[in-house]
Amino acid sequence: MKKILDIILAAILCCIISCQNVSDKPVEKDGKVYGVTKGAFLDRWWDYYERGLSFADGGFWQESEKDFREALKMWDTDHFRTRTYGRHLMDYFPHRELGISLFYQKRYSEAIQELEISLSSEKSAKAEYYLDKTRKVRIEQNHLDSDPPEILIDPPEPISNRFSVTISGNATDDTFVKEIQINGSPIRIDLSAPRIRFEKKVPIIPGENPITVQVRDLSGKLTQITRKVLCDRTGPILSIDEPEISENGTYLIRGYALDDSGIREIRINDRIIPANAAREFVLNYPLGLSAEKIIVIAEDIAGNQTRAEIAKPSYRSSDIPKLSASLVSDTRGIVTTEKKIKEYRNIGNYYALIIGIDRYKEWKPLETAVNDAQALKEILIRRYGFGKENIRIRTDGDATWKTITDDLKEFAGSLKENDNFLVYFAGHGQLDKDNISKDGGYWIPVEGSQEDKSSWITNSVIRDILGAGNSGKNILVIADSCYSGTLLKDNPSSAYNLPRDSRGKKSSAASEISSGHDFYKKIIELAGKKSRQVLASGGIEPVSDKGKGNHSRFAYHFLHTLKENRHPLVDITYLYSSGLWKSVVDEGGQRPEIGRFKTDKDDGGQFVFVLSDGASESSMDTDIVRDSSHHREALQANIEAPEIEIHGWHENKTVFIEQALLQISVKDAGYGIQRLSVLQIDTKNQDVINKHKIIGRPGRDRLYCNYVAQLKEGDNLFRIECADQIGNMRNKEIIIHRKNRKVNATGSRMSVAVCPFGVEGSPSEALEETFLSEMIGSGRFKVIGGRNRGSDKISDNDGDAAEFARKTNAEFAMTGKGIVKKNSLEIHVRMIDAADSEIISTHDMYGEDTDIRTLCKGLMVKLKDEFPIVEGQIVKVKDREVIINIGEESRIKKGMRVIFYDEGDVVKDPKTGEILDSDSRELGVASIRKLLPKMSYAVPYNMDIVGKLNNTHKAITK
Amino acid sequence: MKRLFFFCLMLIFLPAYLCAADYFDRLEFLTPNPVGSGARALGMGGAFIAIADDATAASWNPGGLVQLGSPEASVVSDMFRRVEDNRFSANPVGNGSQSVSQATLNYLSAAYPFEFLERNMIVSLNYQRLYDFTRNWNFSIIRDSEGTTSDYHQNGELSAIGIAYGVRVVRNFYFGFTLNFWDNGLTPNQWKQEMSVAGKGNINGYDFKSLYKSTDSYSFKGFNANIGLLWRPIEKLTIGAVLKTPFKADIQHEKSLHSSLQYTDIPDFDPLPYNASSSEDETLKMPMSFGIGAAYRFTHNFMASLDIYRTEWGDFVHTDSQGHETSPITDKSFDESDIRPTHQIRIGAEYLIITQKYIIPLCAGVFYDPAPAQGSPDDIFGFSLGSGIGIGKIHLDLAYQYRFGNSIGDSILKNLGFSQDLSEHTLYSSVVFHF
Repeated sequence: MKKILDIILAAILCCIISCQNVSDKPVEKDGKVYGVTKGAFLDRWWDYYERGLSFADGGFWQESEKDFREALKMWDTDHFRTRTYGRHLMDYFPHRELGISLFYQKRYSEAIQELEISLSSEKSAKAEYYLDKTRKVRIEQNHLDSDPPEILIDPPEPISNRFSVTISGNATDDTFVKEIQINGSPIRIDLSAPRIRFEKKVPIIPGENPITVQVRDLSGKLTQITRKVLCDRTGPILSIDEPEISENGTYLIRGYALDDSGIREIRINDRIIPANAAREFVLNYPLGLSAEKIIVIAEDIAGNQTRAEIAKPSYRSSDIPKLSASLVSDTRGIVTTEKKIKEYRNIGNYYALIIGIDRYKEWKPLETAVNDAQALKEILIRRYGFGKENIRIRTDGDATWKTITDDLKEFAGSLKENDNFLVYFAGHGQLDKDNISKDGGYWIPVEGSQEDKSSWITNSVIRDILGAGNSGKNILVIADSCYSGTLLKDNPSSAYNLPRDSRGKKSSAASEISSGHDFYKKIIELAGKKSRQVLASGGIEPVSDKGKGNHSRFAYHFLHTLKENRHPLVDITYLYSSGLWKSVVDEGGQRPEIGRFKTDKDDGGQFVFVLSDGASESSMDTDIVRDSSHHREALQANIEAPEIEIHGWHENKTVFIEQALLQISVKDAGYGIQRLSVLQIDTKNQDVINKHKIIGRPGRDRLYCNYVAQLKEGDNLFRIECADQIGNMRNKEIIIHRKNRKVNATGSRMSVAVCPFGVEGSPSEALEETFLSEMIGSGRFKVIGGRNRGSDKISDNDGDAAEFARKTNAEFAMTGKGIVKKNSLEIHVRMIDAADSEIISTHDMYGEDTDIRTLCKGLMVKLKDEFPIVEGQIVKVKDREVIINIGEESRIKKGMRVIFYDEGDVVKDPKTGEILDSDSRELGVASIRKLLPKMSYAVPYNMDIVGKLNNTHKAITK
Repeated sequence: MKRLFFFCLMLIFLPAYLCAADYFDRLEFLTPNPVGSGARALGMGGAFIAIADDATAASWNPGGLVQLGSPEASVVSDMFRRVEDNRFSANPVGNGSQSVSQATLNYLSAAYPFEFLERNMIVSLNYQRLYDFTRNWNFSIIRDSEGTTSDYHQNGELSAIGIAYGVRVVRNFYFGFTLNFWDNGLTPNQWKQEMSVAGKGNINGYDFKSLYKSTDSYSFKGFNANIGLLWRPIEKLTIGAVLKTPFKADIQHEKSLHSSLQYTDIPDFDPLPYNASSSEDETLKMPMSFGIGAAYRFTHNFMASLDIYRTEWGDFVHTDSQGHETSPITDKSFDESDIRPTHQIRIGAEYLIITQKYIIPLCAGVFYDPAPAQGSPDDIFGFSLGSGIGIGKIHLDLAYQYRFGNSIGDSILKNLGFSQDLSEHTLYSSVVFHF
C-alpha cells in the first residue's frame, strides 16, 4: 500500500509542477468581470465559447474573437443543444458569435461570411438579425444599392366572388429584400434575400379592392405596386319577360342579363349561350314547347349565378291584349278632369326654340339633327297645340352662336307669367375634359371652331339666360348632343332619383296618383309651379346620331313617345320615366338623364305637354271605350309596389354558415322596377352597414339577382328595398342569426396557457404582459392567462409549464426566456404540449434598440405562420388511430389538436338546390401523433368516438 | 460398540462425503463475477476507459474524471439473473439448471471539480460493488447403491470505498487515481458458502441416512488503487489507460462442520454427530489488471469506443493459514496451476437523440469477457443495449447486458465430467445528477 501511495504522491507532485492551465485572464469593467466561465476551464471548445460570450458581453471583441476562433478550431458546427461532454448540452454558435465580434470590429466581409456559415448550420434569429445588419452597413458603405426592389406579382384573378384572394409573386432586389407588406400586413421574412417569394390571402369586399404590395430593401428603398381586384359577389341581374308562344310554335324567352363584371354565359334549360363577358346581354331565344319548365341561369365572369324559374305561358303573343294607360276610373272623374284640362289649355302660351345642325363648318357633319328638329316642330304643332308662330326653328347655317343666344334671350325675355318655353338642341356637344362640371359642357353652333372654345355656347350661358329671368312658368331644355348631361352636372335627377317638389314629395304627377282623376289634378297642380328642367339625351358621354327613321336614337324615342302619348296632360318626367328612358337604354350605349337647373326660379313644377283637342278626344274615345277594363288594371298596377321574394329564407333563421346567398326575385306589375338595393343593417342602432345597389334597366317587370352576404356572429338584418318607376316602394326584411360553428369559434382554438418567462437582466412582467396581449390580439389562440403572479410563481421549466397548463385546462403551455442586455433583446419561446410536456415548437426573435412589443409582434407572425388553421377530411379509421388528409405539407405539427365534426344534415333551398346551411356537430378531439407529407395519424382523447367516425366526417385543426 | 460401528460405517461411506466436500472446496474460489459500474458505460458494452466523462469515471478511468466541468453525482443499481446449466457426464442425475437472481446497489459517487494552484482538479468519493459471489447449486450424486443430494449456496460480495483525484497535467492530458478501500467494516466485503450433503443407502441390508453440513464465512480486507490517464491527441479522439494495482487482501475464514448418520432399521443405534469449527487467517492475492481504450467522436452526438483489458489471473493466489498457496481457480497448488491472463475486448457506441427537451441515448456494445480457467480461459461473450432519458439536470439510463458461455468450467470437478453453460441477464439502471 505504501508503495502505491508513494507512486501516486510522486505523480501528483510531478503534475503540479508540470501542469499549466492555459487561460486568459478575466477582465473587469464597470464593476463586472468578463472572460469567465461558470464551470472549470479545461481548454475545451465549449470553454472557449463560453468565455468568448463573456468577453463579448463586455464588449471585448478582440478577446471574444480569439476565443471563438479557438473554439472553432476544435468544433466548428453551430447547433442548438450541442453535446459537450457526458450528457451536457449547450447552445453552441461560434460562427455566429464570431461574426458579431467581427461586425463590431468593422470587419464586415468576414462577419458576413461567419454569419452565413452559422445560418447554413443552424437557423437562429440572432444570426439573421446580424447578417441583415452587417449586409446593410456594407451596402451603405460601398454604395451597392442602386435600384429599389422590383415586384412581380402573379396576376391575381381580376374579378372574384370570394371573400379573399391569394396574392403571390416575387420580390427581387439588386441587394436584398428585407420587408414585404401586403395591404399593410407583413409577410414573414426571417432573413433578407435577393429574391423572396411571397403569398398571402387578402380579404376583399364588394367593389374594387386595391391591393398594395410594398417591398423594402435592406437599405430602405421602397417599391410599391397596387393591383385592383374587383369583388363581385352579386349574381347578374336577370330580367325575363313573361314568355310568349310565338307564331312558330316556340317559347320566346326575352329579357336581358346585366352585370358590371360581365356576363360569361346564359343557360336556358341547360343550353349554354356564351355572352363573351358583355356587360349587358339581351336575350331573345326560342325554346321548344316541350320544355317542362323554363329555367334561365345567368353567370357572370366572377362566377356568380342568378337563376330564374319561369312559369310556362298558356297563350300566344298575338293573344296578348295591348295594354295602354288609362287615366280615368269612372264617368264622374272623366267629366271633372276634362273640364280642368280644357281650363288648363287656356292658361299661358307654349313657345319653342328648336335647333338642329347637320352641316357644320369645321365639325363632322351629322345626319339626323335637322330632321329631328323639323319632326319635333311638326309634332308640337300637330299634337300639342303649339302655335306655328310660337315656334322658331334654326337649322344648319341659321344656327350660329349669335342667333342661338339671341333667340334664347329674346324668348326668355318675352315670356309672360304663365308661358311655357321649350328649347330643343340637336347638334354637336363637347366636353372640356379638364373641367368636367356644369360649366364643362358646350353646344357647338354651326360656325363653332374645333379649337377655339370661345366659339362654343357654354352651359353657363344657357343656364344664365334661362335660369335668371323672372318670367315664364315652365322652361324645358332638351339637349340631344354629346355630353349633354353636363347641363345637369351639379343637379342630376336621373330616373333613379325622381325630382321632388319643395315639400320633398316626388314631383312627377305619376308618382303620386291613385286614380286617373288624381293624376290630372296633380299634373295641373305641378304645371302651376315654376320649373326649369333639362332633359339630356345622355350623361357625360357621346350619344348616337343614328337611330331609326332618320332620327337619332334619342329623338326617335322622344318623338315616338310624344306621338304615342294619349294623356291629355302629361309632364315631362312622366314621359321620361314611363317609356323614354327604358326605350333608349334598352338599345344600349346611352342613358338619358333628367333634372333641373339649380335656380330659385324652379319651384318643383313640371313642364306639361297638353294634347291638342283632336288628338286627346280621339284617344279618349278609342281607348276608354275599347278596353276600359285593361285601363283600370294598368292604373291599379301603377299604385302597387313591387313584390319581393327571397328564396329559401324566411324572416328569421338561424344558420352556422359564414356567408348567405340571398336569391332575390322582384316583380312589378305596373311600370316596372326602378331601383333595387340590398342593405345590411346594424340591428342595434339601425345604421346601414353595407348598401348594395342593384342597378339594371329600370322598367322591367321581373328581376332576379343573387347576393352573397358576409354574416357576422349574431343577428344580421338585411333589407331589400325595391321601388318601381313611379316611386312605389316595397321593403322586405330578413334576419339571419348566425351561430358560430363551435369548431370555428375562438373557444375552439388551441388553448394556450402563457407561463412566466425567465428573463435575464430585467423584470419579467413587462415581457410576459406584452407577449400575452399580443397573443390575445392575434386571435389565433385561446389564451389563458391572468395568473396571480405574486401567489403562484412558477419556473420556466417545461414540466412546470405543462403542469400549469394542465391546472388551467389548457392544451398547451407557452413559456420561454428573454435575454435583456444593454442594447439588445432576445426572446425564445417554446410551445409545450400539456399532455406529455413535449415541446412542439420553438421560436426566437432578436433585436437591438427595439422594444418588447415589436419583437412580440414579430414572434406572433411566426407563431401564426407556424400553427395554421387547416381543414381536412377523415380518410380512414384504423384501430385507435384516425387518418386524416392533412399532413406536413399543410404545415401541421405533431401534437396539434384536431376537432372531428360532422357537417350534419345539409339544408337546401327546395327550389334551387342551393346549400344554404349545414348543422355541424362536434364529434371529438384528437392529437396528431404521426405526420406524413399529405396525411397524418390522430389519436382521439376519447376512444369511444373511434367507432363513430368515418370518412364522411371532417377535421379542423384547433 | 455402536460408536465403533458408526466409525466403521463412516469409513465405508467416507469416499462419498469426501467426494462431496471436495466438489465444493473447489468451488469456493471459483472466479467471482466482476461487476461493472454505470448503466451508460455498460450499455456501451463496458468500453468506457477512453470516455469516462461522467461521475462513474472513477471506476473506469480516474483520469477521465477531470473532464467534468461541474459537480455530478450518480446512483447505480443492478439486477441480474444468472443461469448455469450444469452437466456432469460422470453423474448425469446431477444435470440441471441452477439459477440465481439478485438486485443490489451497484455504485454511488459524487464528484466535485475545483481549481487549485491554477490547476484543474477533481475529487470524487465512490462506493463500488466489484465482485459478486452469489451462487446456488443443488444436485444429486449417485454412486453404486448410495446416493447423495447436495446443496451449495454461496452469497456475498466485494466492494470498495474509493477516493478519487484527478488533475489536468497538460492541456489535453489528464491523470487520476482512485484509492480503493476494501474493508468489511466499511462496506460489504464478505461471502459465505453453505454446503449440505444428505445421503441415503443400504449396506449389508441396513438402510441409513447421513447428513454433512459445512459453513465457510470469509471476510475480506485490502487496499489498492486505480490509476488512469486520458489523452486527447485530436479533438475527436481520446485514448485512455487504466491500471488496477494488485494487492494482497487479508481473509478471515470462519469454518464449521457437522455430520451425522442414522440407521432406519436400528433406531437405537445413534452414533454421536460430529461437530467442528475453526477460524483461520488467510490471504488472497488479487491480480493486477490494466487496460487501454480509444474513443472517437464522429459527431457531437455519436461516438464509438474500444477497450482492451488484461487481468493477470495467474497471480490470483490463495494462501491458507498453513502457508499453502493454491490457485482459487483450480484449487491446486500454485505450481500445479496453469492460469493464464485474460483479455477482455469491449466495443461500444452511443448515439444521442437530442430534442428540445430531452436527451434520449441509444447505446450498444459487444464484448468478449473470458473467465480464467486451467489452461486456457473459458470463452464468455456478451452484448449490451442501453437507453434512457435526460431531462434537464437529471439523466436516467437503463442498460441490459447479456453474457453467455457454453461448455465452460470443465477445468473443475473433472472427476464428475463437469461443464456448464452460462447465461446471465443483467439490468442496470443509473441516475446521474448534474449540479
